[in-house]
Amino acid sequence: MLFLLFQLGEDRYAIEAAKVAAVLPLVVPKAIPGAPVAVAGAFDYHGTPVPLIDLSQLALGRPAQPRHSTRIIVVEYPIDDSDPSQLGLIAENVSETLVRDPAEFVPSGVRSDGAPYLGRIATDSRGIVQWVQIDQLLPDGVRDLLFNQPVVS
Amino acid sequence: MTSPRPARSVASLVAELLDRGLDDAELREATKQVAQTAASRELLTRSTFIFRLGPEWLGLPSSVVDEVVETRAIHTLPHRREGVMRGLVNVRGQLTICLALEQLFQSSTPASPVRARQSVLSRRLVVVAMQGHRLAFEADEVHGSHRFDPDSLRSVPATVAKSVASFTTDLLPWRDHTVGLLDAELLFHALGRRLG
Repeated sequence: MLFLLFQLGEDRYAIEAAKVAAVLPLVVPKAIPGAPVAVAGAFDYHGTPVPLIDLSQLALGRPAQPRHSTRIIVVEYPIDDSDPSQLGLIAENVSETLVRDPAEFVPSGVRSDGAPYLGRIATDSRGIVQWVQIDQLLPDGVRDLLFNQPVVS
Repeated sequence: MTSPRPARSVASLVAELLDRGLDDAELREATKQVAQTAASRELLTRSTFIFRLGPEWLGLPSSVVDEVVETRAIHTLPHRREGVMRGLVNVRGQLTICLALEQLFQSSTPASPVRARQSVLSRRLVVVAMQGHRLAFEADEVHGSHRFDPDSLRSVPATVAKSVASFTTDLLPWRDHTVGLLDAELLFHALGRRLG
């Protein structure tokens, strides 16, 4: 299985490439006043407004650094099974992929209630890669805010 | 004496390049590009391999073209001096059947002398792979792969010479020419039948 790698701080994380719709350069989003800090806003993706989550802000509490390697990963986000929507994730160091058998990912042994999206881990020569579960990514409040009402007026 | 450059791996140079900060202008440009709607973009989703046979510019699906090499001696086969079979060529040690594609199109227009001289220099041997078979043919000129928007295709007018039209699925405007896109499967099926 093919995974797209990115970084949060110094650590490497992976999401399934099959769930990735596009990898885009960083853009200037339209801010959504009053939204939680992890919501960077919404951006115009080929005419469709797509909500944008800053993963660094969500996990580390600091915004992603504006670099060429910081990109937007557009993923299919399941609201309910019948109707997936797109969600933009700002992630740092999106420049590599990894081919691994999903069975090689083992439970990390630590479960963080604050970050239920962090899944099983695999190791390679450069250290540990942790699998990020897209469907667990958003806290319920944020998810309702983004998808249960129009984001751009 | 120039000081030797520190030896760095390509990977670390790429990482360094990607680590540069983004300025406002780049951010605005990216925002504009990402916001472009499908209608204003050319969707270069298909690819064709463009080559010339005599006066005709033709296109084969890029996926069937294996390689393009210099022309070389064609070893004719006894008793097969006519028809689409031109003989055998040596492509990196492999004997490959060389076809005369132009025979199939029966292009009756003789090339002008100027064209003929040009074509000696620009001639290439194109090796295609279809259903596990490798076949070669000589093209008078090769442009290479060209990506295009399927919306730019035009249908084949009924007035086009019948022999070419029967293998041509669409016409693609390219530079000053119109390229006839060939149906590879149909073409090689017809060739297979002629080879017997």
